Amino acid sequence: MSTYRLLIITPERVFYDGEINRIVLKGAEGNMAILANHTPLMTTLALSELKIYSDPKKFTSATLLGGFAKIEPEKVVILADAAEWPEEIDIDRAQRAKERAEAALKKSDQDLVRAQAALRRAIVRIEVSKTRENR
Amino acid sequence: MAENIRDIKRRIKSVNSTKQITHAMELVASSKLRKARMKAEARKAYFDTMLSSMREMAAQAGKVKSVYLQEREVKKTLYVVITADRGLAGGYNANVIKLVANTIKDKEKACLITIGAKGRDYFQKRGYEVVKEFSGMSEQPSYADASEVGRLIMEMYVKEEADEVVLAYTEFVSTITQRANIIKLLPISPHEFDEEKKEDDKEIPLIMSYEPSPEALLDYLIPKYIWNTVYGAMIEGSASEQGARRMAMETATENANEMIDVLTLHYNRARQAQITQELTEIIGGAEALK
Repeated sequence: MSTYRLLIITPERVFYDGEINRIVLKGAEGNMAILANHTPLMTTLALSELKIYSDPKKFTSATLLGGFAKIEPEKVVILADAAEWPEEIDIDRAQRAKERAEAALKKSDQDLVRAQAALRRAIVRIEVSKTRENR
Repeated sequence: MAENIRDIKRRIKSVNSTKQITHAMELVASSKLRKARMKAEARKAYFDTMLSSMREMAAQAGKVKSVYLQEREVKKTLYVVITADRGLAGGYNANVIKLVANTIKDKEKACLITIGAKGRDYFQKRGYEVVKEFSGMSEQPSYADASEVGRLIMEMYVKEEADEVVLAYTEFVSTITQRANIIKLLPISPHEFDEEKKEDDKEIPLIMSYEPSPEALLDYLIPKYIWNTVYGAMIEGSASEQGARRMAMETATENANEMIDVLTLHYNRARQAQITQELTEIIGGAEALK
């Protein structure tokens, strides 16, 4: 299997830089897997989980909280607002954020868009943090 | 005479303890400076990639249209001033504040957002309109802080509460030089996104597809661009703050050393004079007994 270079940059650090087999991410138009020699594409990203396959069967998860990806045949650059490894997630905090966001969504006078984004962020974090035990 | 010697000794002691403080502050500032510079480099990687992608997109999308690019008559200018929360950083705070105060010709036409307690204190006391103040973030700015500021700026711009936004911060030139600087943040000059023409650019650009569309992507990226500019200025500011503090403290430590040297000299002289006098007295006494 051919590999390509993946570069994930957040404003605060270079999150990932290495040769990989494929990634699975959620773009503006839904989930997609990107293999080497993909057609050039630029897309915004949803708040979602990112799976990095360093070889065909093994993958590591990370959260990807918004951003966009620039895909070229031999290189993929992801500019994310924030990215976290499962180990870095504070589960309790995510859980609390989830409850808070759900409460805010029930009341109609709140900023719904913001609460929804917060809820989605919390859910992604909780999902990704679950992959920690599997390794 | 004995009184004098004790005074000098006490002064040496006090200067010495001040020196220890300034020296410790110098060390702390230089370690913080290193951290701030690392952050600045990480941001640069992000910013450069983003800007080049935006340029590519703008080239493909043709003319970029956005509220943030439209110029209108300037009735009110919003100044975003980045200063430190704390002093003892040489001319760091004073330089930015002075620059802004000199730039504002008419208080009525200006409003401010201050980042850092020093700027807030200065401008509030002098009756400027401070719309919002942030403190506690200028030493170690995070991207989340910057996006909060950025969001507020964009909101004010869209609601036409401000027709122009400028950013005043301290540019980090090197560890020994920092320069107060003002840049225009909004409206964005459309030339910012013009593709740079390089003579030796032989690379054929890839034909990109865009999801959902180049326009939508640009709409998404322009706010990011603004946040990132704010974030960059905050980081530069924090690096400058640490740099300025380190320099100021280094000078203070040097001065303390000099003072100790001079005082020690005085002390030794006084001591010698006292001994000489005692000797003369003893000899004089012995002479008288003969």
